[in-house]
Amino acid sequence: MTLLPVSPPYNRRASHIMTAMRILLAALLTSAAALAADAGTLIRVKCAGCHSGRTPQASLDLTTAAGRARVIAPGNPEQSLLYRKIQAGQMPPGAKLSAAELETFRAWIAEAKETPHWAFVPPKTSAIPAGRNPVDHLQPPTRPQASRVALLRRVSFDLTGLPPAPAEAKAFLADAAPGAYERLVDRLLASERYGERWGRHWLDAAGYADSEGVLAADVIRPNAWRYRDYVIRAFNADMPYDQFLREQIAGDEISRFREHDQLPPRVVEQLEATGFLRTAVDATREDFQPKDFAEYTWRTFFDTMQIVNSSVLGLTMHCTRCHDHKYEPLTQKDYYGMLAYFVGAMRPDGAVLPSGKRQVIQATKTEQAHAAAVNKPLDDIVKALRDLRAARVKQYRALHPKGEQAGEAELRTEYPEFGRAVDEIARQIENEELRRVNLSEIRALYDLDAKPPAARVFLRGDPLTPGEEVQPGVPAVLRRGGEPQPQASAATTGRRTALASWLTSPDHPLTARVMVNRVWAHHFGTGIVPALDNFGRSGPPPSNQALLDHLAASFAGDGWRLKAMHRTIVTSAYYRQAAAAPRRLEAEAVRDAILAVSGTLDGKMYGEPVMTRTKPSGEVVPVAEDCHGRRSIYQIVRRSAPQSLLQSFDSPVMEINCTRRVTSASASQALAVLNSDFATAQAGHFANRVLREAEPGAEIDYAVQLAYARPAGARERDDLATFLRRQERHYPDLSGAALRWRVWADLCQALLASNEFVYID
Amino acid sequence: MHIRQLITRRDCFTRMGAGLAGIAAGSLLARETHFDVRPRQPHFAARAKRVIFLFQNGGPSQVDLFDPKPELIKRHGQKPGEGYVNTVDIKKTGMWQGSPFKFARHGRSGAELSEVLPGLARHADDIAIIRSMVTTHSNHEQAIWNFNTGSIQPGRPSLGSWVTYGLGTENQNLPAFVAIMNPKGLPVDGVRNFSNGWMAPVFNGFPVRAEGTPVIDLKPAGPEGAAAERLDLVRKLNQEHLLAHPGDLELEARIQSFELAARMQVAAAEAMDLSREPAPMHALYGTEDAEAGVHARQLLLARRLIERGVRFVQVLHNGQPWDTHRNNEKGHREIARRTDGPTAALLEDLRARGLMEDTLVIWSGEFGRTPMTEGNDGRDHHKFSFSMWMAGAGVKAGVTHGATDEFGYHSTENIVSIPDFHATVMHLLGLDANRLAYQNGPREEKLTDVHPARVVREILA
Repeated sequence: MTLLPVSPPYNRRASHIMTAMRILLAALLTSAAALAADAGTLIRVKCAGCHSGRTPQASLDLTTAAGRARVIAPGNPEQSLLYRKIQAGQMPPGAKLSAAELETFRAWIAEAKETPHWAFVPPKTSAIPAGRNPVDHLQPPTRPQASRVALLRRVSFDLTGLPPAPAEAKAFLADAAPGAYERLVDRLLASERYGERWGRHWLDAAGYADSEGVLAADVIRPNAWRYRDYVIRAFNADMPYDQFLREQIAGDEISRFREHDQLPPRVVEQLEATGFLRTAVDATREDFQPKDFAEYTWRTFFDTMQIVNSSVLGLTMHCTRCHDHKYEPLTQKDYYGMLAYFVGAMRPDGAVLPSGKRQVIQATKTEQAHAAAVNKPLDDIVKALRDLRAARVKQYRALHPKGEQAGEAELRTEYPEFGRAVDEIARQIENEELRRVNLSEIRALYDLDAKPPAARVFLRGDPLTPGEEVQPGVPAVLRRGGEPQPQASAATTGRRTALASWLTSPDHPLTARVMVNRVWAHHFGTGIVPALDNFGRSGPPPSNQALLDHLAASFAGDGWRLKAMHRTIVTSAYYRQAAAAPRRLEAEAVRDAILAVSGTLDGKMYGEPVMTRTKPSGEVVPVAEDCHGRRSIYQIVRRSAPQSLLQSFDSPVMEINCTRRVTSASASQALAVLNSDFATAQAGHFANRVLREAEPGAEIDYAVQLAYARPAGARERDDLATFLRRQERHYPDLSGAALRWRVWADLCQALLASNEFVYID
Repeated sequence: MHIRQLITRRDCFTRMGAGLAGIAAGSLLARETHFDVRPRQPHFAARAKRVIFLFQNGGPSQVDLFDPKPELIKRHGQKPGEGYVNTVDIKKTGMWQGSPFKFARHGRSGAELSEVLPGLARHADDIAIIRSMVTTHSNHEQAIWNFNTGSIQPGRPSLGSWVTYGLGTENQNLPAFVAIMNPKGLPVDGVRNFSNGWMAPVFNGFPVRAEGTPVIDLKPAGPEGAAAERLDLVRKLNQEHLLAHPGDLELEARIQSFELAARMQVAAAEAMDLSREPAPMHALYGTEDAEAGVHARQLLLARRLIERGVRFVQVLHNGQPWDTHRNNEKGHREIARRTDGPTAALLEDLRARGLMEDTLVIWSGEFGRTPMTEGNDGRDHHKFSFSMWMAGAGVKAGVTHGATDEFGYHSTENIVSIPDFHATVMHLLGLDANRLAYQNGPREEKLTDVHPARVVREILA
C-alpha cells in the first residue's frame, strides 16, 4: 500500500544544526546572501511544514522561487503578503515569530532586487570554439557512446518515425569511412518521411483535428487535411520557422489573396497555412444555431488563443482570460490585447458563418459562375426527386396497417413495388449528382474586412460582461519598444501580420527558445525546459540555460532552419551517448513501425484522411484495418471517436492542443498488441515477409533485424528456434507451409508486442 | 495448466510490485504514478469502498418521479407566471404540466415516489433522495460534463478517474474504473462520459459491454495454448531486454501491464460471464425480460465487478432515454419499465450480500425537466432543479433532503450544487475533495476546482 502524498516530514534537530552552520556561514558571505540564507532557513523551519510538499496550504509552496515570488515584492516589505501576514501575527498560526526573526524577513525583502525572468530577456549565443559542436561544448556527454546499431535505430525513429529499412541498416553498418553517421543523418533529413514525423509533432501543438468537436454529431471538417499537408510540406522543404509562423498566423494578409482571381500555388499554400487558426473546436454549423451562442462561439476564439500562446509563446496566458495571472507578470489586459490582433477575422458576436462555410473557394470567377449555372438547376431537380420519394413513403404508409408508425423496412417487406420505386429514385439522384461541379475549398482564416469591431476586456472572462476597450498589443512584460504597428489595407486589418512579425523578430525572447526546446524534447524525451508550454516564472527553469540560449539565438540568427538544428543536435556526442533510459515510441510511430516491419506500409502521402469506423465491440479502427497501410498521420482525427490502437498508446484526445504526451502502459494496450485483428493480421504479413525475403536458414536473424534493427544473439536465436518448434504442437490440423507460416506469425506477433520493439535506446 | 502458470507469474509480479514501491521515491515518483493504481489509504476513515454510478443520461423528470407537485396539477394547462420560463429556449415556454403519474408514500420513511417506480418503492427505506439539485447548463453536453467532471467545459477527468486516482483499486486483475455501456451505444458525447481528461490514461474508464464481447481484444485468436506460449515468448523477450535496462520503471510497468492483460483474460472473462450466475439471480434482475433485459444484464455485471473489487463502476444508457421532448408520459413510462426492476434487484442483491455496507450507489441524470410543457406533451431540459438518490455505504437511508418551489421549478431549500454532490461522494470514500490534487502541468487541479463545495452532511448516516 502506498499513502497519499503528505507534506515531507520535517527533521527539527537537523534543522537546528543547519541553522548553526548557516550562522557561521553567514559571516563569510555578503550581507544580502547571508540574509537570504537566514530567511531561507526560517522559511524551512517556520513555514514549510504547511507551505510545501505536494499539496501545500493555500497552494503556496514557499520552498520554491515561484511560490516566494507570489508573496514577496522585492524591495518592498510592506507590500509583501509574506511580511504583512507575519507582522500581523497571522502567520505562522499559533507561533508568533520573534522580533529578530521578523527583522530578518524585513531586511531580506528590503534588500531583494527584482531580477527579470530569464525567459523574458532575449537569448544570447555563447562563444564556441571553431569547428566544435555547440551542444558538446555546452553539454558534454556523461556516458559512453552508444553502439552504432542502437544509434541507427534511435536516429531513424527520431527523424522519420520509422525503423531503419534493412538496406539502409546494411549500408550504414558497412560504411566504415569517416562521416558515415553524418551521411546517414543527411539521408534521413532528406527523406519525405521526415516531414510526416515532425509535422505530427507540430500538429499536436496546433491541436489538429478533422472534426468540429462540439456537440454529439462531431461533424467532420472536409478540408482540414489541407493544413495537415501544408505542415508536412513545410517541414520537408525546411521552410524557415519564422516564415512558417508568419504564414500560419497571417497567411491571408501576406498573400493578398483577394487581389487574385486565379489563386497562384504559393497563395493557396499561405491560405492553407492559416488552418493553424482554424483547428479549435467549432460549434457553428448550418443546421444548428446554438442557443447560448456567445458561449459556443467565443470558446472557439479562446481555444485558438490558447493554441497560439502555448505552442508559440510557451506561456500560460489562458489563465489571464478571467483575471490577472496569479504567478506570472501577465495581466488580463495583456490577454485581450493579444486577442485584439484576431478580431478582424474572428467575430463571435456578429453573424457568424457556420464553420463549414468559412472557406476560401479556390476557383476563378468564371469557374464559380459555371459551377452556379450547373448546380442551381441541379439542386432543383434533386429537390424534386427527394419530394417525390417523400410522397411515395407517405402514399405507402397510408396503405400499411401501422400507418405513420410503419418503418421503411416494413414498407419494403409489405410492398415490394415500394422498394423498387424508392431505389429507382435514389439511382436517379445519384446520376444527377454526378454532374455537380464541386469547387476546391480552403479552410482558411481571413479578415472579413479592414474595420474590426472593438476588442474589450471581458470581466471574469465572460463575453456577456464586456469591460473597457483594448487596442491590439503584446504583453507588457515582453514589450521592448519598436513593436510593428498594424498596417491596414482595403481588405484587411494588418493586425496579424504585425503580430507575426513581432513574434518572429530574431531577438524575440520566447519564439526561438520555445521551438528549439520542442525540438530538443522530441529528441531526448524531455525538454531543456521540461514544461514545453510554460516558460514563465511558474514553470521549471531550464536545466542548461546557456545551451538553450545558444541554440535559440543561433537558430534565429541563422535563418530559423530546423534541419540545421536537428543536424547540430543529433550529430553531437551528447545525442550519440548511450541512453540513460529507453524512450517509448509515440502512438503513431508504434503503428507505423508495425506496418513498416510487416512490409505493409503504404508510402502514399497527402490528401483526404483515411476514415475510421466503430466496430460492434466499440473498437474504432480504420475502415479497412487489415490492409490500410498508410501512415498514422493520414488517419482521420475524430475527436469523439479516437482510434483505439493509437489511443491505447496515448495519442491525445484533442480538446484544445497537446503540448506534452504521456506514456502509459495499460491493459488495453497489451490486449491490443496481443489480440487485436490489426496485430494478428500484421504479424501474419510480417511472417510472410520473413519467409519470402530471408536467406534460407537465416529467417530468425532477418526477423530480429527487421523488428529490432540489430543482429540476433546466439541464445536468442536458440530460444526463438525452440519456440518455433514447440509452437507446432498447438496446431495439429496444420502441416507444411501453412504450419510454418502459422508458428512464424506467432513469433512475429511476440516481437511486435515486446518492449524492445516499442522502446528506443 | 494455463491458469496455474498465471498464478505463479502473479506471485512473481506481486513481489516485483513491492520492489517498485520501494524504489518509487524522489524524481522517479512522477514517472511512476502514471501507472499506479495500487490501493492507497484515504484521507480519513471511509464509509464507502466502491461506487456504482447509475447514470440516467437524458435528464429524468423530477416532478414525475421523486417530487410530487399538487399545485402543478391544479394549475395544469395554465400559463406560468413571470420568471418561469424554458431556459433552453424562452419561446418554447409552454403551460404548466402536472404529472400524469400518481404518487404514494412508501416504507417506514414515507418517501414519496411515482407509480412508475414500483421497484424502487420497495426500497424507499434504503435510499436518500435529494430533491434540491441544481446545475449550471441546460444543454446535454455541458450538463453531462458538469455532472461527470465538475466543469461545463470538456476535457476534465471524470468522477471515476478522481476516485481511482485517490484510492487506487483493490483488484489488480481488473481495471480500476469500468464503464458498462449499453450494447446499442453510448450517451451523447461518447467516451468523454468516462474520460480521464488530462489525468494519466490509467485512470480512464475501461469500457465494457454487458453482452457479446465484453472487452475489446480480450480473447486471443487461435488455440489457447498457442496464445499462452506466444505471451510467454513476449515475457521472455521482455525479461532479456530488461536485463540491459535494470530497474527501469517504465519497462517494468509495461511488463506488468501484460500480466494484468493476461490475468484479465481469465479474471475479466470470469467476472463478465453472466452465465455463472444461478437462474434465480437472472430471474431477480430480469435478464430475460424483453424490455428490461439489457439494463438487467448491465446491473448484474456491475454487481459482479464491484464484488470483485473494482473501485468505480459507471453504468450508461445509450442515447438519451430520459430526454422526453415529446410525449413525456409515454417516454417516462417506457424508460422506467426498462430500468426500475433491475435497479430494485441491484439494491436487494447488494443488501443480501452485505455489499450495501461499503458500496455507494448513485442514481442521477445530468439535469431535470421543465414543469411546463414543451410542444404538445413533452418536457424540455431544466437546470434549476432536479432530483437524484444515493444508497448504501454511509448514506442516511430513508431521508428526503431539500425541496423545490410549488411547481418544482426552482430548488429552494438546502440546495445541492454539483460541487456539493462531488464533495459528498468523495467524503463518503474518505477523500477530501479540497485536498485531493492532481498536478496538471503548472496547475494543481482538484475535482471541485475553485468552486465552493459543501459536504451534504444531512444525508450522511
